[in-house]
Amino acid sequence: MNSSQNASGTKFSLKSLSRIFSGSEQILIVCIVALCALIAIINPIFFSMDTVFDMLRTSVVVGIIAIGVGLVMINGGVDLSCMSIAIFAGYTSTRIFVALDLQEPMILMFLIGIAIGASLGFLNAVFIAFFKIPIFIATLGAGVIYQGIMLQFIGHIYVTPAHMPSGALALADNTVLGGLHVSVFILISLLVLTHLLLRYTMVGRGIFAMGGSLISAQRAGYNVKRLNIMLYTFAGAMYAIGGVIHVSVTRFADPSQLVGTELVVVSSVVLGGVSIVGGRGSMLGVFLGTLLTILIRNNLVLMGVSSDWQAFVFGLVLICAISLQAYQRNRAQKKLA
Amino acid sequence: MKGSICVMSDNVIELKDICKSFYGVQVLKNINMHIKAGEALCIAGENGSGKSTIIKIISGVHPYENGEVVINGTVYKSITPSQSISEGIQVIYQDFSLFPNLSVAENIGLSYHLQKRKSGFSRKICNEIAQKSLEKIGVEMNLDMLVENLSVAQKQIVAIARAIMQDAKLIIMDEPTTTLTKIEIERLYEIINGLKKSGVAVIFVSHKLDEIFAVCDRVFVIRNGEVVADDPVDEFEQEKLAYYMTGSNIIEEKQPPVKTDGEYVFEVKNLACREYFKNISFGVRQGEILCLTGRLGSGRLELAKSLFGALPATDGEIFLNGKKISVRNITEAISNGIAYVPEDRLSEGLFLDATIRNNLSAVVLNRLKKKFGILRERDKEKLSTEWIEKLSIKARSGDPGHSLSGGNQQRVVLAKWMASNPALFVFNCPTVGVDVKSKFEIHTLIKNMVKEGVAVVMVSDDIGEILYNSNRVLVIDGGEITFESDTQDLTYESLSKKITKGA
Amino acid sequence: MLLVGAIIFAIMAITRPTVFLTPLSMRAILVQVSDVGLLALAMAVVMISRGVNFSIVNLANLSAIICAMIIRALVTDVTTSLQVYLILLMCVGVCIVIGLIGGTVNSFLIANLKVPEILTTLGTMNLFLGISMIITGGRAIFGIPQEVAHIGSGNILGIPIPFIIFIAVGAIVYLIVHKTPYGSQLKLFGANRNATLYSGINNKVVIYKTYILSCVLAAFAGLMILARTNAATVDFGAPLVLNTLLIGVLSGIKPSGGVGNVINIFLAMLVIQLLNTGLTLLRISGFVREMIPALLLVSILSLEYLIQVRNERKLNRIASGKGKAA
Repeated sequence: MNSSQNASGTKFSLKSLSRIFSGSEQILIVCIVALCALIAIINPIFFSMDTVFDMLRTSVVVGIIAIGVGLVMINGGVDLSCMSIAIFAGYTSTRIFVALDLQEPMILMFLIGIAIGASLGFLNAVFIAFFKIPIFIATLGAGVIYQGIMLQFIGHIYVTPAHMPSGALALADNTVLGGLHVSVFILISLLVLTHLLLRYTMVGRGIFAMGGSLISAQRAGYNVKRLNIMLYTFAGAMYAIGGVIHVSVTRFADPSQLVGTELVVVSSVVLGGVSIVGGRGSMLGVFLGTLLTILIRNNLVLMGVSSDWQAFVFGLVLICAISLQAYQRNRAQKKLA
Repeated sequence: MKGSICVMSDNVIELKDICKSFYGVQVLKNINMHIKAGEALCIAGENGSGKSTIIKIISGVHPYENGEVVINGTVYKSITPSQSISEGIQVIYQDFSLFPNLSVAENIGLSYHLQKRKSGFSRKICNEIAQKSLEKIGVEMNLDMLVENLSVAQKQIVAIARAIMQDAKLIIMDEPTTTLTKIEIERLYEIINGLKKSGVAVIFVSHKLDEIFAVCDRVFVIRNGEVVADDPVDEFEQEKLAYYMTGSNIIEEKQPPVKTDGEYVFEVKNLACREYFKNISFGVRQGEILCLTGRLGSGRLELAKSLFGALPATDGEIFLNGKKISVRNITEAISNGIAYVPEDRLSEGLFLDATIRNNLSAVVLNRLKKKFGILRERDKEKLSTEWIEKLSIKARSGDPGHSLSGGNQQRVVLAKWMASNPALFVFNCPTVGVDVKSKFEIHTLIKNMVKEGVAVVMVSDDIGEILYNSNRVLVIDGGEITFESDTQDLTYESLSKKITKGA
Repeated sequence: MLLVGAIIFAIMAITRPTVFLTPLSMRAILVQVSDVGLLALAMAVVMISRGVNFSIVNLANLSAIICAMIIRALVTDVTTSLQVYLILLMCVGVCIVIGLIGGTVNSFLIANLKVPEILTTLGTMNLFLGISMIITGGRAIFGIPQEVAHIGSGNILGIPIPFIIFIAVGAIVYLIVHKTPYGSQLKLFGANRNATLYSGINNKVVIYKTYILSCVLAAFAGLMILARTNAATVDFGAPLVLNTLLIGVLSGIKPSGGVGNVINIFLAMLVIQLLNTGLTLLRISGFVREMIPALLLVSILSLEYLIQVRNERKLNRIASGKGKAA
């Protein structure tokens, strides 16, 4: 708890800085730096520009999907269908390209993916907003349904690197500035875009407002159903972009991938300080949370931890993150009430 | 009926034959209402009479089954909140309906953006608008504060500021003065009169006569979902209004002060709880009903919860029948024989979907169990038929809680506690949302309980209830007892003044 | 509910009489009902409390793995049957301990730290999976003594033993939910948490009891799975979580909390198992089979909502109409 007190202490002295980095984000940065230092001590190879670039590259997919999940969580829900939608969009768009014997342009593949992801997200919203199915059941069920539809009707055969569209392969190899992967820019621009949407549009404020109080949002004149549809459709589009990038950079479209790793995304978002009960969170936080999660995941082996420990460590990280958040919230509530 | 005679363009809003039901129970029956620009209309009625429902129909929160709403000449067969808002209707809800996670400026400014149907959001505009409207009320506030960090009174001010900042045509205020001090109330009157002059229509929901006289031109009384009076304000006086609201002339007598040798059945000394209240000392004598009152946010609610261990006191001592007891949580309170009837019956008292039988046995479940911890349905049934009969609850023990009327629901909550044989009963606004006949019966029930030796502490903001049903009253303000008196020495006006005195 | 079951049964019997109506397939249904049933009960008790427990399946696997390791460590060639049964009894004890620990971890987060149930159990789900991974390295454990396997495959009076065990456990849960003060508290807690608090019911204790009960049932299901499949794996039955949710919903427990009835859960379970077996026998593709519970779950909830809205509207229209006439 010491670190949080320190953080809130500096908050007063550096007011302008704290506007950008709120309490939880400061803690995150401290954590990331500390962890990096620790890894570097154990394994000095860690300290190089390549590692930084590599870490950024590997956080792109999780990061982009975390944008969508983060938005849903700010709004007070949780989306367990994120990975199903991502792989659905990634795999299907590849298959469409293969079927039509298209190689380029990559932008078309993204557009197809986004169209698929957005439609599936829209469907989620219908379950949630029009049929009032509890969000976790709706998204859990929808995820399984989407997965089933894909495997049954689109296919379950891998698309191997030899058959991947050349556009996707080109994206996989596309680096700038001596090693920085180009998809990192996609992640960053999506983060900035979402941040701006959240901050400067009424839809964005509505997502926050609903997370704070659904009834107040309704009474204030927000069309809650429409807001839900926009939110889940947008989130679906984000998952789709993540999915398309995933199949591209792995040079391999395997319909059974991604699904089952929802928790990595949820941990990133929760670690990033998005409130587990909704109403609070930032894109910067989501980004930092993703970095921290990826840092832990990628370097467990580097730090001499067996890969068998991965699931355990993730469960533990998520539980610690939510407990810490809940603890802080309870304390704040006790203080104020 | 007047509405149909008036010229269309004259009325800002008109309700025609509005009907509304919940769960198949009709709560509004053919409501006709109209209001002109610059007019202030008071909607009066008991809690549960349908006042809030009318407001929520106008604001588009509740759909209605029959009738139509005419706003500025446009006929609506159904209306959404956003239509209502863009027609210039603003509501100050009783629960304020603010966003706890947003700042003061955003809370005030967001509505402006919504009304103007903007798609972009500007913090600058928010700040300007918030600043302007807070200035109008004459209150200074940190615009960047999150609303969840505000006090109840500050939240109410933000809610008022949010409603008056826009170029509204109709502002509806649902009991807007519950937390305000005298000075702030005066300021609100000025604002309302200013609004009226500039042609804004105001609907003011209140049952406080002085407030009604201060701002309203016309009084509209509803009872059990029906309009019973719609007359200019000068034709009203306290008794007549009370008659219209309740539909009967039940005359209650003030309770004489109880002067025994000073032996307290229940006593607290120097009770304190964080920033809610401090230095609270009082006692309840044998056969006495003690009433705690104060504005919303004065600490009265927290104090009541402390006596029951729901919000444990951080300092002080509690004595029951001369013995010091510890009330650190609800379980301890109950094992010491303390019972608590909450204010919000629906969320804290009743299990709406559970049967009466299960409701009634909730507190005494562990006492009902037999060998091997087995609980027999038979015993629950016996208990519930016994109490249904004792309190003449109009329901069968297998009926679900939501099928009951407010009065019967409250009796179920009371019976649940009476079944546990408590030594002290803490009532928190025991007759909110209860029709007048049940209200009278519940009051009689409480008085009978006292006769049987149960100590009673009643928290209430219903001045009539306090005056006629308690022997002594304590006024709490800012977490401290500021006034104490036998109810016999008080009048409606004098007590009302003591409560809203403020700093 | 019974009707749905009967219809499915009839369809199956007509379309594939040769396969479906054999004693072998009936037996398979009863055996499978047993461990899925225990998991469904584990989910149902938390659903009654208006919660959810994603961690049950992984906890079951963890307990299966630990029991398998105990059995393998203690049972040698010279162990007598009696000793094996004693070891098995010990495993039951171990299951209860595992359930206690798992339930306590879950309830500590939910009751004391006030973390939403969904996130808590998602976290512990991974935690239990992680522990299983650490113990086994992801490999399945085989080689269970004959006595244990017998429990999974044997009969008493022609009824499969797992089914008998399941009925016994189900009866205990029935007693707990319907015949004890705790059971009443659980249902009231699910109906309105605030009101239980103000009725002097200790909500934290209710949460602890509920999640511990749920986790003990799950751990016990693990032992049953071990006995039935003769193996313990890290990722057995991952889609079962959805199945158990579906059984809960089918039995009339609203995900938004409230009423629960153990008998209904039992019926719902039979229906689902009939359906699963039927789909297998009808040679429906595995991909479709896996998505059917999800499809059912979502459509049942949608339908329920639509019916509720319609009824309410009708009721209100009638009530308001009456007002007009009067």
